[in-house]
Amino acid sequence: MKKQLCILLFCLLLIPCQASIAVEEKSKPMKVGFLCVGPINDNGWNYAHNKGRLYLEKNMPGQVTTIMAESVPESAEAERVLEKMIAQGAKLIFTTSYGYLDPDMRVAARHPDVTFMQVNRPYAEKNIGTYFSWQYQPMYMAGVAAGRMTKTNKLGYIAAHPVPPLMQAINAFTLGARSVNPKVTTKVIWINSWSDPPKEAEAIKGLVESGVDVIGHCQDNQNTVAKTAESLGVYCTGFYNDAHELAPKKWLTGACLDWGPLYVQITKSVMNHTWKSESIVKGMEGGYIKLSSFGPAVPDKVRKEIKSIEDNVKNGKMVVFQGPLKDRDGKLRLAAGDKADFKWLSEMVWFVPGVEGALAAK
Amino acid sequence: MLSPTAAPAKTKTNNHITSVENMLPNAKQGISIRLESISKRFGNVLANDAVNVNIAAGTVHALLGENGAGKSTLMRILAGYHQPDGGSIKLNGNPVTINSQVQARKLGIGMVHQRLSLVPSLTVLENILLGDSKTSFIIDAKKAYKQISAKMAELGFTFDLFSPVWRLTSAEQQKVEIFKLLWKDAQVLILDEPTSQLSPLEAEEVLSVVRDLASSGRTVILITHHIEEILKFASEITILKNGQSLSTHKASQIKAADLAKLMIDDSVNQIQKIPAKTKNEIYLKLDNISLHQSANNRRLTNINLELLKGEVLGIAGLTGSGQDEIAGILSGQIIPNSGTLYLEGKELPWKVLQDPCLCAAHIPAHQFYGSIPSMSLIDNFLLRDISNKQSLMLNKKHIQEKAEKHINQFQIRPNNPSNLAGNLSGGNLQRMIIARELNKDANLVIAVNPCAGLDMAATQYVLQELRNFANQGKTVVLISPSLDEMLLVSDRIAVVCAGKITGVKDTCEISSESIGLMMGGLE
Amino acid sequence: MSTVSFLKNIRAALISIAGSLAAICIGLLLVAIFLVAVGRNPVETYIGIFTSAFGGSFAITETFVAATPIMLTALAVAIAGWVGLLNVGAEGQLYLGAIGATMIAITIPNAPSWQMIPAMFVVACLFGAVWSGVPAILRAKFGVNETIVTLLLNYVALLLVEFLIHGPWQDPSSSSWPQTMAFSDAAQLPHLFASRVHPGLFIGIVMAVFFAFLIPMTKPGFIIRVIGGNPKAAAYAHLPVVKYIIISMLVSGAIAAIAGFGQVSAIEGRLRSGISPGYGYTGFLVCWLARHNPLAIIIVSIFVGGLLSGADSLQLSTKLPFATVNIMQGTIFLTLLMFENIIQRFSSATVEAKTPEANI
Repeated sequence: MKKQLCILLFCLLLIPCQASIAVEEKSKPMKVGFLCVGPINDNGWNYAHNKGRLYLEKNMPGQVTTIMAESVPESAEAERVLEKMIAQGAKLIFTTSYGYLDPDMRVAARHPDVTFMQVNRPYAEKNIGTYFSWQYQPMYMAGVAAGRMTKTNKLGYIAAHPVPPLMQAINAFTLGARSVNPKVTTKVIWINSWSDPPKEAEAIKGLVESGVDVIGHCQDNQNTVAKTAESLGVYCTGFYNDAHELAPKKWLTGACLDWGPLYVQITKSVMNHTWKSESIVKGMEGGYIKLSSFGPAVPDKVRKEIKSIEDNVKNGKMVVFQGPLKDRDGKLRLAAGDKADFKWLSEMVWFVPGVEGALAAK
Repeated sequence: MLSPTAAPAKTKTNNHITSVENMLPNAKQGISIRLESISKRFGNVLANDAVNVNIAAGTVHALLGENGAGKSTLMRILAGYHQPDGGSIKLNGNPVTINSQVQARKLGIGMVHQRLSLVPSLTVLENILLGDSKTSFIIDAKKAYKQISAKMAELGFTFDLFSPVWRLTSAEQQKVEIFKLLWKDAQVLILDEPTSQLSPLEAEEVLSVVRDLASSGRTVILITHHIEEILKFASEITILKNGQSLSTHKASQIKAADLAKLMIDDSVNQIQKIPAKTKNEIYLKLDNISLHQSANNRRLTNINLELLKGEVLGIAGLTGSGQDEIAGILSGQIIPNSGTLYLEGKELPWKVLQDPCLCAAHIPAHQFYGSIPSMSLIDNFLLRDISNKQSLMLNKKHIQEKAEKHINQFQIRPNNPSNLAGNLSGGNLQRMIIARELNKDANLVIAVNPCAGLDMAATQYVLQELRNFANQGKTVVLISPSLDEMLLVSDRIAVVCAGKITGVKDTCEISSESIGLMMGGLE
Repeated sequence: MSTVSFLKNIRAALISIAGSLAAICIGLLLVAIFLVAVGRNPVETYIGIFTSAFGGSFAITETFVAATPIMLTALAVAIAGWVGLLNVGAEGQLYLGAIGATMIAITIPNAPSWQMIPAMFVVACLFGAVWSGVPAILRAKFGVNETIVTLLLNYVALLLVEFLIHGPWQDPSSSSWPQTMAFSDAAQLPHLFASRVHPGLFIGIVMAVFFAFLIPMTKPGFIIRVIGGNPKAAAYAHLPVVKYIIISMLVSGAIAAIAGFGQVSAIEGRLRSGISPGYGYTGFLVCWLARHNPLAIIIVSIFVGGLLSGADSLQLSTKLPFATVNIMQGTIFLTLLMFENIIQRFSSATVEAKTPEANI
């Protein structure tokens, strides 16, 4: 018994030695890490980031290698995974979920030589940069499609957490719909999780039963939303990725992320030491947020209408959030003539008129 | 594992079994059993050492022996629970190997264990159908009921098939167990101490059923300590001693005293009674005690009982007449609804009886209440010492020494104090509990069926110890289904019937007949 | 002598550890089949996991970080187990500990560390004890099944956390993101060895050693063993069964709460949902794998902590999807539980051979 134990312990001691030798070999290409909150096959948020990662690998062959960690919770667990990525030699890490900022900040403080890119948070410090895409812009257009297509004038929206990026999308969606159909209201249900398929399906069913005939969403996993809407015979819009094949009959349109070019741009700037700590903020003009393709249900007239809005938004002739803008309680949020700026947008935790439902997850 | 005689049969096991099965329905005269030089070893204990027993078909054959003589092991071999290390089994002269209980059942052999295997919450009918190979996946209760009641009528059994088992008396439960075997067409019935938990009347009831079964052609093997029972109901007796078969006798040709002498080395001694010096000093008095769960369910009614110093008081009664409740109250387990406690003349609250230092030594009716199977003998002995006197740290050396002393005094086997209590046989577990309780420094001993599962020598020893206790001026309450035991030791006997005391008599003034009448509420 | 029984305890711990190791090897073999099927070299993969869990000081400390809440919750389960109760509620008690610690941290944010940390600790323990006290009293006084009550209270605890972080305790500066404000430095447990290891680990180890001594060698330990072994016999001997059941459950909840206190104070620095990825349930599993032996709990929880933290390498180095981590952990836990019985039979068989059962 004792003998066996000794042998076992000896073997255990040997293993790390061998392994550490393997780690010593430094590879020339830069290692880029990606941290995702859900599975990368979700046809949504995490899928979009992975698509960007694959684009990066494809467009900088030999210069970068990537490591991906999916389904990492937004807790201190992320800290451990980040540390392990750095131990493997990662020099640039994209942390692709809202709640990763805390672990990011702690790990970044310990590793000043590593660059961190945090999504969707207005924050920048030393070796942490952040990046935004104004998903609300295509969502305004999706709202226009919804406003045109609804028969009941009731739109539904299921959303993960009451954080500003999602508030922007819900408000833009409603503004878009009401710009073509002032009778429209949007009912919001909070899911309280980036991805919780059973709860999402339940929420959609509840919305449909209350008369809703278009569903908008901000859930990471687009599979559930699109398939549930299709099976219940209501229209749906996308938020992260062009998923029209999931709802072949009922897909309208939506936002579609394309992080690839941005990831290449950031990686290159880190490699040639031109990277600086900032918040990169781009709308549709930047190219990494697009309008999804239309579903067959959308008539040509509506397509043309939306296309012209898209052009106007891209060339700056039109702004989605423009004063005067009141919230649903009548409080003036944006004075006449003012345009939404970055700070204003990243503090949006209120609803425009026409949105129904609690302001926060209850 | 295979005996030489059985070896050739093994190669054709299937044919062999069918041939026996075919033989069974024709075997109206029953199955005779021949056990030849059966040996079985557990570790370094030789439980059976070349045992030879011949059992004629259609008889009640008794196996008699002390605790640990090898009776249960031998029968468990016959019933397929153990495989013998050597020797052969012949049924009606044909050698067989019994590898499993299933095979034993196919051969028509069934065993009722000392601890019954009925499910208390199920009805009798369900218990009978349970584990019955004839029962199909979907139970046709009506059909089963018809068949079972027909079989019951044929064999002369009467019990309510739809009553849950927990409502039955111990005797009825025992009969259900026996009927279960018969329902599975058992031709050989092995009964392991069927009467140890029964009152004498109940024992008689069960054993007469057993005798009738034997006369209808079945073979019954009875394991018991009660010599009187054996002489009355068995036709042949085999005595086992130290794992060996000593001799076989016809019941009609041997006397009880001779049997007892053969079984143990010492012949039965008369218990030495020393009359109490301070005969009328009251130690404890129960005054007008009543216990009830509800107005309709009265378990004790207006009990008045005085326990004297230096006496053994027996409490006699049919099962469930209230004697267990009195024991519960005296040991502090139950607090009565009304009534007063006087201890040495002082009125005291009932909680006094729960004080770990002052409470009575208590040999409980069921061993399970008085032992922790998952803990060592040392720890089981410690159970009663864990009073306020015990220091925070356990003094393991002292505890172990004490345990070893108890083990030697009461000859508990195996004698390793670190052995788990759950590994002890029933008799040895009882010895352990008695050793612990009689060594507890208490003024009152409550002994409920203290000799259950003990052999004659141990019974003799325990009864003598109880008597010695009283002889020292302390008080003993003895509750036992055996009237003889109580008459032997007690100074006085209180008789309970339906929750009331029907009389308290000096032992020298009464006979077992008059007690029997009082127990039935007839006197 | 007393040392004998302590050594015996260690021997029992060793037997259960050796048995578990054998089961783990079989589990790894099964997973290896899967790895080969998806075209990975199982030896390399396992070396990667092992390195990721125990290779180097960072890996080892991270393993300890994961092991800390597991160890504490496993001990909590064990304490209830010793008096024969099944505490499935360590997860909820952990969350209550986190709530208690957070309450102090955000109500007196400016208190100095020497007041803050003890106050957080005490309140966390109290909250945890309340959460386990409810099932304890229901059980001891009314005979309500404690397994179901503790299990269901887990969900209540989680919802309570959700309510607090979405409502009254939400950080006003985090724009609706559900979490409390960050703790002040005084409310954060110090980290040790330049890593995330915090004093919770040592509380766990000290507790385990303390119980390894208390249970076999003292009077209260004996009473606990009797109640766990046969409560009827304990009542027969007039031992204070109800008192001990309640106290054990209170201590159990308090220890699980320490795990929650450690998570919010040393690891997260604030309260949010998901501070425990099921540590309470993992602790329950660990407790059974360690067969309620406190010394074995230390070892097994470090092993399981390594399994949790080392599994990162499946994704990072071997480039397997995250689901593989679940497959591997699930398989290993399953084989551990399956072989638990077999090992137990084997070990009791060897004991029997030495002291034969004389059931003749």
